[in-house]
Amino acid sequence: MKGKLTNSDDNFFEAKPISDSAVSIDIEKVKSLDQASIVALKKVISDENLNLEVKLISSIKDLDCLVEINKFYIQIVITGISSDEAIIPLKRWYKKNSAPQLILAMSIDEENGLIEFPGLITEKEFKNLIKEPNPKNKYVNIPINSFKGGINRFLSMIQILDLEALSREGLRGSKIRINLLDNLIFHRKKLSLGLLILAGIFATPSLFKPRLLYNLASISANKLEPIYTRSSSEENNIKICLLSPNSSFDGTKNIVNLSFDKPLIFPKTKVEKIIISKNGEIIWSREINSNKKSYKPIQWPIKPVEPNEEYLISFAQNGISSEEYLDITLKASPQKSFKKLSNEIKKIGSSKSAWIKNINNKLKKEQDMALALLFSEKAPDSKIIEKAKSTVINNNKCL
Amino acid sequence: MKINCILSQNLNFSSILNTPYETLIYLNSFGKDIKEKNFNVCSKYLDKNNIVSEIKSKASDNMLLELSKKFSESIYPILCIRCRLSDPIKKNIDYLYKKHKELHEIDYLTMLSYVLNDRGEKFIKTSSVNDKKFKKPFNWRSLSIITSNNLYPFSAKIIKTFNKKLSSLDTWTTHQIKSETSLKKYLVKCNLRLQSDWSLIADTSTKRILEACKEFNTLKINNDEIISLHKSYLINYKKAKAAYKKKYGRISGWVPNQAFINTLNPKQSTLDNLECIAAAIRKYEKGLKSPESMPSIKQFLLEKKYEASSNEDQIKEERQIYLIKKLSKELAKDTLEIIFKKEKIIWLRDKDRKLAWQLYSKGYSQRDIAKKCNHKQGWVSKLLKEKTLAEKISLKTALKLKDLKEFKGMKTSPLEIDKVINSLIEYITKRQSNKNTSILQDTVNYLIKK
Repeated sequence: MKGKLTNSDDNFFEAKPISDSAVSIDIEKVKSLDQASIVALKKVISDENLNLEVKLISSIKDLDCLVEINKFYIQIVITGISSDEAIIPLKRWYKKNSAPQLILAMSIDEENGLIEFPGLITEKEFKNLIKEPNPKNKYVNIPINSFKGGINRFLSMIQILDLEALSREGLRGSKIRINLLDNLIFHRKKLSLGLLILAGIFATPSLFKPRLLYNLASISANKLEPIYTRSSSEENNIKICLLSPNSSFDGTKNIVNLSFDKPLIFPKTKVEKIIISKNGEIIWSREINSNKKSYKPIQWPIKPVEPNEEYLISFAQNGISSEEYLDITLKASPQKSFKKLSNEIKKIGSSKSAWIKNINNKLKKEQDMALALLFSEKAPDSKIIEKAKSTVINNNKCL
Repeated sequence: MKINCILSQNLNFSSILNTPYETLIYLNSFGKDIKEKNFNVCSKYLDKNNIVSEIKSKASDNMLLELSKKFSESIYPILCIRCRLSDPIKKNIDYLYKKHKELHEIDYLTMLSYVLNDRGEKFIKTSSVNDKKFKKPFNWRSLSIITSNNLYPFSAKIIKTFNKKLSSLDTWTTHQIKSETSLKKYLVKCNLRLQSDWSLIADTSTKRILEACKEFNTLKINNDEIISLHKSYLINYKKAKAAYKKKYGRISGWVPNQAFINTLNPKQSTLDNLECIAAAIRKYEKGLKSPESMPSIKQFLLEKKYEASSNEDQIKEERQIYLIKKLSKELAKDTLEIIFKKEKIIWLRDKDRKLAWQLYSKGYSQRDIAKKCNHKQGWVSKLLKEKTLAEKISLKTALKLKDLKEFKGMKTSPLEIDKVINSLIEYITKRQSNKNTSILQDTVNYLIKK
């Protein structure tokens, strides 16, 4: 039924009762809303006499922050006290195996210094809520009443659940990857078995060409996670997209589990300087003076990586303080599973179709190796490979 | 009782009806009485300037404001406005008090003391650089040079920030009351929170604003314009809020000014649209049912009933029930014991609190407890916090249960945790069969007598 606001309605001037579980904080002493959320959470934990440490991992001021409590990774999303929706930044959900396990909604009344906890969503509930995640979307809006159970549910989950009960796979790892594979399987299902065998026998470069180019066009660089510092504002943080080596954020650092010895260093954003160091000693560094819009890969510039070795690659960006670097830790796999790029090249031989097929196959599980092969000096002269290289160079996707 | 008398007495102020620009309503300096003062100087000033003074009007408001700026040394035009403001200030507090007095222990005179504190003085207090207080004539010139955000009396703040192009004087008064920090702090102590329209608009999603505006048909602009207005509001509110916080160290008290309005898209000449949006949201939210917070426990129990259970399952279930009963009683006692240690010390000086707990332990409703203790229901609810207590006890019980093999499912399933905790809450708060009390109430009874 439609109603009209009349003059007597002008006096819609009423106060709302404060919930029993609301936490009161000295709002004037906190600098930002993410800080307010940490203060409130610590206060709840201390009031309940719980022996739980709140570790701030990273933060998008006034919108959300990632904390670690009892080894669980929790995304705290900040809303207004009367908000009907929470805005969830999705960036964290596309970090492979580094995604949050729980989302805790926190409603802040800045005017009165009050914080309420509508409740939480588990990673599974979140995935069910956003049925078709689109990596292009940076945020998703979730109704506030989807967050259930208040602070009590949150405290129950983090104290009762086994760590493994909640996945850190994130969105890319589950739904999107599955969709890509599903599509491949779906296409194969459409073909008869005979046709599939025939396709296998007579697989030619041209058959793989569209798939290779399509697959290369759909890969994306990884936006490196800056380590949050209270003094640095979000605008001043270094923002680097790195296609290779493919890193993930483990909550404290960007890490690459390297399975072979000569990865490409392939930033997709402008960098001023790259440094490779080991055990605190600089082994290699290069200033990069590029004003181009597309960026080319750098072949591994030092001796091949040995199994179990650890290197630090640091990137500096123009306009950012020279003391600020974005680091990734390169951790080589043990001997048993560690490969040499030269051996892989030998195995492929000189057949153009074998190279294309190999690169295409490796793109699914060993993206770094696929890119190292594609840009290898040993790769045969082929129009398809050249086109594939240019597809990668011009692909500016970054998540 | 006393408060109600004062309130009803003062609703009969008669002179204010005929002389809004000459009669000042104020709280006396002891804060115990509402008084009325008639200023002959105002009558003369209004007559001299041919200002209609029998009823309050926008034209008279604007004329007086213009005169106060033009003759910035004169205290009279501003005194007329101060008189005119005292009535809407009081009415706003009357409304707020009436709305909440039944459930919350709010004090009418205390509420008035934050806003109806202009006693018609000729001077306004101000602070110098080294924080020394000195008096200046209460005129436009003084108001315009005082930079403090804590202007006193409250009417000075309304006059200084008022912009006739943006809003009416009555609406602006309401906005200022909603934003008044001291009043807000007092209400928080009484378990109530006051939210300004500006924070309400910022909190609400565009989707809900569209729904609310559609429902109440309040705006003359179309949906696309509402979307655009809200978008620009959010961007600029965030910036304005940050600047205000930097200057005053808090967000409470912020109200939009002309510069803020100029940043909105589509261009706004007044606050009308924003005010309508806020009113629509408040009305819309009033009509919404509060969402169920947790899945129904009954449904869980029904699901269990229909599951075909083997003999082994039945034994397991019986053991689960036994464990729940045993542990929840033990942990209810443990949890409440800690609370009662502190509570019993307070009982020595506050007998009402003891009586409230005693009545609760006998199964009385919060409403009846409030009546018998001569307090409001809000006081009882704040004291007992039954839901929070039940949640705490259930969580502690669940933490003990998780290590027992019968409840190992909780470690791997959030759903299982929800079900166990909900069952526990229901188990300890619902009335026991053949009894008028719950386990929680029995435990309270045991601890009172202990």
